Amino acid sequence: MKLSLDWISDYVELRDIDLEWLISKFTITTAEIEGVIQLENDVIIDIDNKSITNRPDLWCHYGIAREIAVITGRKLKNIDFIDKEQFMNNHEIELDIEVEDKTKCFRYSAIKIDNIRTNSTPKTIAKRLTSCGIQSINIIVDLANYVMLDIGQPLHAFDGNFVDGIRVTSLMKSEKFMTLDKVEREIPEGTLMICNKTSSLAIAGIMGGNESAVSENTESIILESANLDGVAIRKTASALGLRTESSVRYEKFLDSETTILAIGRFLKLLQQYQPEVKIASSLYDNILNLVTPVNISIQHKYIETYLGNTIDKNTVIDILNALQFSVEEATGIYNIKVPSFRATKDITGKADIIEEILRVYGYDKIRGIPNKLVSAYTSKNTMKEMEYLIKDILVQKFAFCEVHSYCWYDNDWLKKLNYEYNDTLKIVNSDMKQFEKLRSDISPNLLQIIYNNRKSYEEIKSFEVGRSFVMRDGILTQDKHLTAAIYSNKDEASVYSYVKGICSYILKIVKNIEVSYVCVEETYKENCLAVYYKEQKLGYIYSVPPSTQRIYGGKYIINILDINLELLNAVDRKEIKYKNIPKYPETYLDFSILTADNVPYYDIEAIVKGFKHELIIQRCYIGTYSGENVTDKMKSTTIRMVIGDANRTLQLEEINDVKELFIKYLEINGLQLR
Amino acid sequence: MENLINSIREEALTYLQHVKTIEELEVVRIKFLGRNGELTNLLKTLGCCSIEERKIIGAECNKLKSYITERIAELKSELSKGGVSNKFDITLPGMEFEEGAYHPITIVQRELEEIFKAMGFMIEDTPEVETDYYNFEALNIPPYHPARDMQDTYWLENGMVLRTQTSAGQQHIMEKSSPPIKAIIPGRCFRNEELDASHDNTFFQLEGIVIDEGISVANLIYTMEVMLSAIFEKNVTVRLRPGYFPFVEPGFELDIRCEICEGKGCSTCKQSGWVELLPCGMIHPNVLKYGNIDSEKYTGFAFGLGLSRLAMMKYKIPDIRAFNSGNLKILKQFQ
Repeated sequence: MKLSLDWISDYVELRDIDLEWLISKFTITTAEIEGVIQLENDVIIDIDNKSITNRPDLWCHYGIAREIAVITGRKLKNIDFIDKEQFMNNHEIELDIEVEDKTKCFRYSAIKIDNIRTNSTPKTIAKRLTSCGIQSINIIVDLANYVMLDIGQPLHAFDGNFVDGIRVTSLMKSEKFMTLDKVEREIPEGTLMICNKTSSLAIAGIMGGNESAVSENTESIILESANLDGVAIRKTASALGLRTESSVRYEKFLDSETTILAIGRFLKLLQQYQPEVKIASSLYDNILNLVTPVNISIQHKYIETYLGNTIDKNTVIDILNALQFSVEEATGIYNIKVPSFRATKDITGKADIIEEILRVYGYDKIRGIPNKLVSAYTSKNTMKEMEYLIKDILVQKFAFCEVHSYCWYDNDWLKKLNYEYNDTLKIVNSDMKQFEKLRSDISPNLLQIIYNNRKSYEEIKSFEVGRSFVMRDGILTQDKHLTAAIYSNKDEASVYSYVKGICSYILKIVKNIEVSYVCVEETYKENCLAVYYKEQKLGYIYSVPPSTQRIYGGKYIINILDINLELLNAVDRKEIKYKNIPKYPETYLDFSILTADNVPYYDIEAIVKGFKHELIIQRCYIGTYSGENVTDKMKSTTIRMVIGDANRTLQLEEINDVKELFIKYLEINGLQLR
Repeated sequence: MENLINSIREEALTYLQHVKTIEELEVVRIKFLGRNGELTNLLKTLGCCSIEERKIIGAECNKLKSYITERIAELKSELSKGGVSNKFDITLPGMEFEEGAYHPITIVQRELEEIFKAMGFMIEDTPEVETDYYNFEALNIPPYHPARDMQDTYWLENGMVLRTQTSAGQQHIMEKSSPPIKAIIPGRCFRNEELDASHDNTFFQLEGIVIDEGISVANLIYTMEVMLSAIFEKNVTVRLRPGYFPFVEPGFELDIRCEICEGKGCSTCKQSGWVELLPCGMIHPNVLKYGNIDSEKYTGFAFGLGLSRLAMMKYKIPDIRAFNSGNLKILKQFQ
């Protein structure tokens, strides 16, 4: 919001002030100043609107002057206006106005003024408006705007000739309406409107209509000064995409005491330039809902506890009085009456009072004090620790590069991949439809990162730890996943084995568990293994389908590892069990089992595992061989059995027994040795 | 004097680098360390310096002298052997290992988490897709509250939102624990805004809350000073000024004294001498009420750190979009 220093000086003398000091003081006590523009005979101060969202009283020059008077200790001057006694009941004509919607309209005040001329605006008024970013139109419109910037109350002037009676009502059904900016707008049902007997005159609190707008032919006006429900105005303004100087003020809830003052101020200014104008009606003033008075009691001790520092009682009272709060103090309790201009949803409780005291007192006067020692145990975030451990493993041991991608899919990229996801949640107001679907799987985003970087690297190993968002049967899950991808032109089997090895390694380090891998069929997943621990499926290892691989030129393999970290975190870490170091030697027995080359190791392993013997300590895979000395279309799989006894050295016969029993067992199961 | 030492040091280094024979080495020794050598002469002149100067320069000279002496001895044994004498060439470069890289946000986030852990905070992680209740209402921002304009929100088709602030996690923490509470919530936030070098629609914040009996503004100030001094690894001067956020009362903007101009005013701090760093404040009683915490008995404070911004400051990354760019040439730098 732009403010003229010259204008503020109408209410508190600032022309002689050290501007730099004032700006800094205002910044640390009241609100943020975004910029200062030096004009020839004025200074424009631009206040950050966001920092005064909660202060409707500051949205005008008088309000800012009132604030500056407090922080500088300078005298606040009075507003020059015509007292309502002079226009209240001294005319026989009563305006025909009815407030039908009594919930959205809190107060409606209006008066008719005749014998006006809509000539151009006096220079001083026009100049001030322009400096504050408002275009000058004609004296009536300009004075209405001037009063709004002056004391914060929006006014609207209707051309008297076009008004046959006023109804303040909410639309029963939507209608088309041309606003004074000559744009035809579709006004939704339920919108609060100012209406004539048969047609609409204005969108209440937002903008007047084109037809009843003041023009060069206007000789008579009806001046409206209303207090309206901020929520209703805000809803309409956002529905219409039409935010005006008036609506931004209304939506913050204005002081209902100001409507008559604003009319008096308008009349004072108008008469100054056009002494011949005539008040042509009695004042219409319908009060439906005044600002509820706010009274707050607060203990001095409470204030000191909240601040953590001591503060003098008189200082508290002086500050509150300066801010126009009335205070009565007895036995350490302040009974405070909040002025109506601060009671508009702004000041509601003790914390607000403390803020008022503190900001004027000066934040810099508060000394920092450590909070008292609490010896509560801070519980560990096991998920977080696991995440970092996984990142450490991938970065430091396997030289992966951690990346972040956006949490949505790029639809153009999905199209290129020819992937479709139906379990997504969509953003409804994204400007870019291309990015409207939240990712339900991180891998396509990793694939895109690889694609974008592929020309610079022979091999890419990257991963992301992040959430994916899956909608199933109306239920959203947003689990964290580890998704890692490797892009390589090395041999297919070894790249796959590398990824699978990493998976087993991570799970072993993180949870000390051995997982099992099960071949499964899944969409967009080739060579897919599901990673199981007990009955829980923790994730997948897979290659991208050939169609995807072709996008990268076909020569490169891309394998993905995807682990659901929420599920993994829920798995208890297996305790490390101490084993006594064997006192007696162990014996290794290696067996090379011959099978057809299409028999998966998984099947061979299953059979091997089925062989139970008390001397077996461990079984493991050594290698697979095909080629010379192995018949065509056959392969030889070597497994190792470690046998031994904790209490003695095995006899040769015992070792041979195990060997023979195992060979027999294999034969029964249709397997033979090489 | 210092300049003189520097020039002797450089000269000596050049000579030592180019020495090829034992004879040449002896010439170098005499030039610098001989009875009339440059360094020897310099040491002789120390007498005219003040005691303070003598201490500093004397130490420098001696350091240089022992370096030259040591190098001469090393070169002497090397030159007398003549060439590689080990069984293999130990001067070949060592084996190279492939290096991975952490995302810069991870590095900064982890450092911050360590600081907060040391201060007794719990580390929490709360959802990125939030209900209106958590992101707005329970933060004292009812529907149609003007403060909703302060953040451009991504709305989802099921009525939920991508959280616009990590403050959305506050209620989750109040629901699962009771005071005393000391927790931080680092994580991703989303705003539907135009992208430029300092704005991305996806960025990281770190929310902190402390709730207990008698928590005061003074505690907030103390905690911020300690925390920021730990983050910046030096004492920082902070100031508070009013800031409006519906979920705190009083609400503050915390500024730190500009590092670049030391508060004198420069282009970085827009001539003000201060740089806006983080919003904070005393938790609004309504927010505590939503969390079923008795606001008469307990008070608390909250703060929000811009994690992405801190990472940009730390690594002097000029464009916030680098973080989500997936550009490995950028990301591989953070080993």
